[in-house]
Amino acid sequence: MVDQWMPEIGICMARVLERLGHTVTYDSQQTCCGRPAFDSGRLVEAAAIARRQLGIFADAEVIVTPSVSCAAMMRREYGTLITGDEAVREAHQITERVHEFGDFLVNRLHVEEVGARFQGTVAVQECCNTRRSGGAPGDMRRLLSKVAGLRIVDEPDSGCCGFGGPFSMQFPLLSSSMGMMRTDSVLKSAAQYYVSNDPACLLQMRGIMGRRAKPVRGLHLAEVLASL
Amino acid sequence: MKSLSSKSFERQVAEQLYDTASLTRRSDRLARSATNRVAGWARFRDAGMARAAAGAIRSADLRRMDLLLADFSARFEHAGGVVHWAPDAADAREMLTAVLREAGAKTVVRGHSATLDEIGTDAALTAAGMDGVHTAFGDRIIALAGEPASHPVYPASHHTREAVAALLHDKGGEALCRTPEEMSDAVRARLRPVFLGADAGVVGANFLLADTGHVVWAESEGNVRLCAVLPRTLVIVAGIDKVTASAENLPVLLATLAAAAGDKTLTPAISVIRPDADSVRGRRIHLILVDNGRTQRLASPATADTLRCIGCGACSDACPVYRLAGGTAFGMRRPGPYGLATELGEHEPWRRRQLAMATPLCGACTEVCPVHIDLHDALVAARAAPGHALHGLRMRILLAAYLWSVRDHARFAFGAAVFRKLVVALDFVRDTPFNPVEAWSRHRTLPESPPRTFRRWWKETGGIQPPNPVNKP
Repeated sequence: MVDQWMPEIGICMARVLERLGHTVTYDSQQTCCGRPAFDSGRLVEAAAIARRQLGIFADAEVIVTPSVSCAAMMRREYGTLITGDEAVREAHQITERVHEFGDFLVNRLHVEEVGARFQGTVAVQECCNTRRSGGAPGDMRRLLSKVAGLRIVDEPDSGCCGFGGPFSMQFPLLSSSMGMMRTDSVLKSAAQYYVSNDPACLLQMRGIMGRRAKPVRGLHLAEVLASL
Repeated sequence: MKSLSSKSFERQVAEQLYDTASLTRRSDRLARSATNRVAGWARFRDAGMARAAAGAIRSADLRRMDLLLADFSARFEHAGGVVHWAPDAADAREMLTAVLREAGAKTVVRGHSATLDEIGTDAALTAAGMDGVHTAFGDRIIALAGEPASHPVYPASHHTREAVAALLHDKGGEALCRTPEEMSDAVRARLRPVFLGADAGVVGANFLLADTGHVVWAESEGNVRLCAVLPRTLVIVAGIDKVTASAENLPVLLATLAAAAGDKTLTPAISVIRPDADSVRGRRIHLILVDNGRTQRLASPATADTLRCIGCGACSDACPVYRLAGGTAFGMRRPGPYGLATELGEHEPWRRRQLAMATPLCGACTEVCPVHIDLHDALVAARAAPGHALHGLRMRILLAAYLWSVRDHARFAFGAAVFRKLVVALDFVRDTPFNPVEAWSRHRTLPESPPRTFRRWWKETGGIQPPNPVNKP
């Protein structure tokens, strides 16, 4: 999704990582983590995708993704897809090096302050998969709270944006109603932006806000942290 | 209880969404029970520890289920009870009606139990020519209304006070009541003689204690206790998963159940009884242990943990789909994530395929489960079951295209770009069937198509940074 629809997120993430002194590489052999297959219940196909992805990332020191959903897929769900003791052990050695961007900064690098500046009031949309991606809920909030000029608004009722992959296409009304509730909360909060740690949440919320013709912009965590 | 409606789930949801009064009422109820749960967990010195302990107890119970069941049944029978083993629902029904027939039962009082509903008790009693009387208030209401349950614990939770009063008056033959107290008094007055005159009681169970042979019920009304001790004959129908190793587990399990269910303190009526208790000694007490697919669920890592369930209903209350769609739309005994994860097999194939996908897999259910069932895993497993996958031609085509492209990066780059350009180009026909992502575009705009992909940016610049693309206000 980042590659095809939101390349600026990947670019910003690379920018922040390089600014922190890390070398970023991108292997163009990679395709997708396999979550669409997994979420559609096609576990055999998802396992094949998992094996392919693991092969590509086997030599990386750390694998960082700007999507909580991809991180959760690789860290958590790959473990149930790969079978056989030896293969599971090998897979684990790779998947334990997978981090979602915010989780990587906070829990692996122990960096919360990245020197970013961003003028504005933001609502925080933490992707539900943060529960399964290995990071701690609140990582993103911690990072954002250290950004100069940025103010986080508290929302009484923030929750799932309603995307859910194939769910969003199979139950458009239900999915978008969840998105309406989520965006209602953002709109009520008087935030100028909403920031998410997952492109999928942004896809859904930007789509809903677009139909509602609302000027509140959705940004990815990496975009905010890259801004100076 | 099979689906009572032939409408699609999305259609039922649409009706629920237009019913803003019930939506508001449901949100209010969910907010209230959330507050109660917070208060409930606050009573623990360490709620996380209590949940971990409850989860560990249930997990250990499942690992030794066969041995524990043997222990339990030996002790239950030693105390004078009779144990029957039912491999499936039909066997359980047959055993139940055989026992009741032998006892010469005509009027049968029954308690609220998902297992009784699972085996089809109501239909079996009717077919056997017996009069089955629901003694749980909520069960009576939905039986009068002819509806499926709207909540795993409170099946009639979707009705207003006024609607309940009207149902009791119009269909239940009670005087028109105004307050909840008047309603429960009316039902109590009607049921009291029924309890006293009933030939048999049929109930479920919350826990079976392997080390003592006791059966444990936790309930809010106390009607199960009356079903158990008043009639001459008692039949308990329990899933094999209800066995727990020891009476010592009860404090943790009952306290956890109460907090997770949103009871302010302990569940109001807790009964612990064995067939040699004076109040029931000499009666016929039968216990039917129901497998009905549980052993199979236990065999698979993704679904085994679902058998830990202690029936608190917290997963439904946490579920955003439940919140919007309402309980009755599921047409399940346990509407919500737990039902989606465990009951799909009982529904017709078309409905099974729909319901399997009816969750965004947000994991809110897993987060609140007091015994740490990974409902997320179980929901994915339910999708992966044969015949449960995607429905709809469009989704099948999209998935096939995805699966074709994802195996090779050149294909992927090509396929994804074609897809992106196609949906953007066809956005002008977005509300027509020609739009491949019509389901998306009905309620949401498409993202803007970027000038170049990340892949191409990386290739062209080698990762050299362009100016910061985020424009500041």
